Amino acid sequence: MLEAIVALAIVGLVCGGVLGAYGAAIRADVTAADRIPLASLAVERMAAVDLSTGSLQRLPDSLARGTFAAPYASAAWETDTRRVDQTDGLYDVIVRVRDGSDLFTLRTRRYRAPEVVTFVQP
Amino acid sequence: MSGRVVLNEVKDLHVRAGMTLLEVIVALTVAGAALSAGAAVLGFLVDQQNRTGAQSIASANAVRTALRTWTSEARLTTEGDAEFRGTVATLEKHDAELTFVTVAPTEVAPSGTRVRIHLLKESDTSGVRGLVAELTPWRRMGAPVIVSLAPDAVGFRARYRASLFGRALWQESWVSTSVLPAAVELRVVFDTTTGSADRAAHALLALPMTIPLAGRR
Repeated sequence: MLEAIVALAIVGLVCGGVLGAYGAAIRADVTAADRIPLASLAVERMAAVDLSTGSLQRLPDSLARGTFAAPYASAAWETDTRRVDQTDGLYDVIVRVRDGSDLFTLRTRRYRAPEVVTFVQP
Repeated sequence: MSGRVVLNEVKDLHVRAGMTLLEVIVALTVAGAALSAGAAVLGFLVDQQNRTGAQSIASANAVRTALRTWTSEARLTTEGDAEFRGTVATLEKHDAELTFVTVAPTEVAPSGTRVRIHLLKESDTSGVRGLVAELTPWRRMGAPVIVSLAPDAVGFRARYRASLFGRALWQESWVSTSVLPAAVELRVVFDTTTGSADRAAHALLALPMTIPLAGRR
């Protein structure tokens, strides 16, 4: 009887491990599918930054954060820009789209010609 | 005599009580096999359902990426033989038809393809309908290839952003061989009144796409 119990326990452990791996694979599929729309939403926000004509030094609120329209009303985004050291006009642009516990981050760099300010002395 | 009968009955009861080790092992094996088969079938069904949903979302994302890549890499030439033509195909439905030359790699050419994106309301001879892209090699011989982008699409809208003198204006059409729009907004429309298994994929495709044109940067 003891041998049978030990054998069944081993079989049970192996089956449990296989089913666990299977479940993890399914969860990975579902997570990937959930994050694809977030990636598309992040690309849309990056396009909005590309179309803005102002400086990237400080983004206006309409570009810095917000939420999406239905059917992605539960998703929120925020865009952050940081000047790259020692390169005038080059910025790190980071878009984060969050929906519940899912987060997608899109990180790239953009160049904007530095604004030239001319002072005229009276 | 009656005492012996009673003793035999007691012995029978004692022998029949419980199961042998072999019986326990066989029963557990059968139960285990049945449970494994049930779990495998359930897992397969769940897996198929999830994969189908994930695949349709991945394919919608691939269509968005293709449209974005082709459009953002639209180019004009100094010879004037590459026209950007975005027009309203049918006035009553406001469906757009968009034709341009892209330098993005496509199914027909690694660089230089004339792309025509339009909506086919009825199935053509090849059975293709919905939003399609007609890809033709540019400045080279080659038969056009029809790519089905969204078979269930019932509408296709486009707007073109002009940025002249610092002002941004969205236009309903854009036809030029010398100036590209600053950006194009594409919108694929689906019939939301009919229940569809691909609702999540349709929602993703229906999300308006704003595409800055690389040739204008």
